[in-house]
Amino acid sequence: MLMIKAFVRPEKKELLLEELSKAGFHSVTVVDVVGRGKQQGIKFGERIYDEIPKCMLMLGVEDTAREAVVGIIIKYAKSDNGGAFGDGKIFISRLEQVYTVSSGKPGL
Amino acid sequence: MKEIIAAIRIEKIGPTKKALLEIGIPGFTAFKAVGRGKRVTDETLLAKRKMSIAKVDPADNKSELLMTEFINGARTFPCRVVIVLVSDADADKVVQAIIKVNRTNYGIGDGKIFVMPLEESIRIRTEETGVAAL
Repeated sequence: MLMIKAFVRPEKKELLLEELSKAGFHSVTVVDVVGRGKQQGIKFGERIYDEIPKCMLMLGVEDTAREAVVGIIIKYAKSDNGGAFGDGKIFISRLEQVYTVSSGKPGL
Repeated sequence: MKEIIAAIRIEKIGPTKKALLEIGIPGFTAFKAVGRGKRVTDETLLAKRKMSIAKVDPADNKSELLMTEFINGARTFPCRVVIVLVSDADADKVVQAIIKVNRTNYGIGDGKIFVMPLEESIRIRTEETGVAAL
């Protein structure tokens, strides 16, 4: 199993949640975070804003769903006209075990 | 080492902290998040839960729909995410402790626990690494 963490623009959150649900990836945890990327924040004149609000989506998925989930996130998190700086990043890590608390059993 | 990420009910953070302390793993990181789980399709479970939260007037379609969406997981719901870093030996103990205090008899919405491998940990104060830094 895999843990997919996607950092996306907050305004893209609703659309992503809707599209993920439509594709059958309903479970997700959403955290509002701040951070900066390769661009070192946004510069307005002399001021640099390096704590830019983003939204982190966390999904636990089966290995086979990897391409589908990443595809959806890239498709809908990308800005118009082929993407822009600040559209975000996706990190994927290995999940060793998942437990559902209600049943106490292992598995997604 | 293992990283245990648990998404749990907001009101269960107190018991969870206490349970972690009892098994001797006091350190943790927690933050508020919103999330949703698997879509609940079992009608009897939904009806039972709806009745226990509030009595919904069947004629009032809007609040009926809203409540159904909250319970069956169509909408995101506030939850608490707890991150615990432990040695391999303690991982199962922590998982079982979290399950024990967070399980309710509602049958839905108790949360999820993810166990991930942890590559390295470093204590900034002493520069200790590995299990010693946990």
